[in-house]
Amino acid sequence: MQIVFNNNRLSIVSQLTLAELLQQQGIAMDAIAVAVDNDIVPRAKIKDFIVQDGMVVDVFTLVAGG
Amino acid sequence: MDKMNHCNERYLRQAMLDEFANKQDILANKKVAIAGLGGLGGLCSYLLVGAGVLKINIADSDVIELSNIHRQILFNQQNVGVSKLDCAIRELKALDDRVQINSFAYIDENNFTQFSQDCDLVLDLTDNIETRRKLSKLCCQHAIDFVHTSVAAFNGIMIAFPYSDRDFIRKYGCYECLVGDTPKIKPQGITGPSAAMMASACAQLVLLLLTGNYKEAGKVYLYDLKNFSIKQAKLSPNENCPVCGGFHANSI
Ligand SMILES: [Zn+2]
Repeated sequence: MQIVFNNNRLSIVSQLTLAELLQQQGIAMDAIAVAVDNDIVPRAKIKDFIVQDGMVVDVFTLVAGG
Repeated sequence: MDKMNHCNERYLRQAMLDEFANKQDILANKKVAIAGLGGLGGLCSYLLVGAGVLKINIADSDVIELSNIHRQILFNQQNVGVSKLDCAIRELKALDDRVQINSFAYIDENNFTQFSQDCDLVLDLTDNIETRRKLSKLCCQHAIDFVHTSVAAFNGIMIAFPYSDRDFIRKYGCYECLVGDTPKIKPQGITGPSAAMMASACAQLVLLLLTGNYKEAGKVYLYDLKNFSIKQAKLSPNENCPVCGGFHANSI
């Protein structure tokens, strides 16, 4: 199936979780937020969230500086 | 009458905007608590007082260092070694001597009630995720509206969390839902303009909130300060959040 990951088309296997997708893409889970179809997925849900066909996934850097 | 005309003149250009016409009395009677007087809090507080927000609480425990002043424009090289609170109070009073300021050398569970007393908003402009999580938790527990703004490298984040609205929490969650288990974030580099852009964005959001001109709910603004783009996403709650989870217990 096809998704859009950080503005690029990507083919992935079905039943992949967001956490697995990030790992495949070489993105560490430390200071990031993930949005699927523009809705933030709370970090606590990333490991169980199943990516569906056609979803648009964006990864953002979390910052805390001031 | 003279004093009146003087005030009208001060805000002339701001009040030309429909959003700010006849809003000076409203702004003058609002109270905002600002946590952090670094690259965000210094300029943000200056812009808010300049705009006519005349009651503020400010909190910071640091003294001014030479490495601060490229982005902390309330301070200059002669202020190195001086407390940020003392210097900020001086600069804000020089901008408008009517401003009422309460200052706090730190914020914890014990003085939070004092820090947030009678405040319409608490601004989290601190410099680390641990303090931000604690402050958000206190605001959520006390039902106090909270504005988060953060910046590092070329990334900025800005979010309004109106915690006094329990429906908001049920629908969008809290700061803890967003950051959850994020480990300690290492300090990164930053330019003065990056800090100033986010400080200004935050002040603008606060002015819109205080005047009833901000109608969005649950939006996260994600700034790319190098490529000058702003992305938006919607917050979602974590029903098992250790901070706001209790509010989701009865939701469908
Ligand atoms: Zn929460």
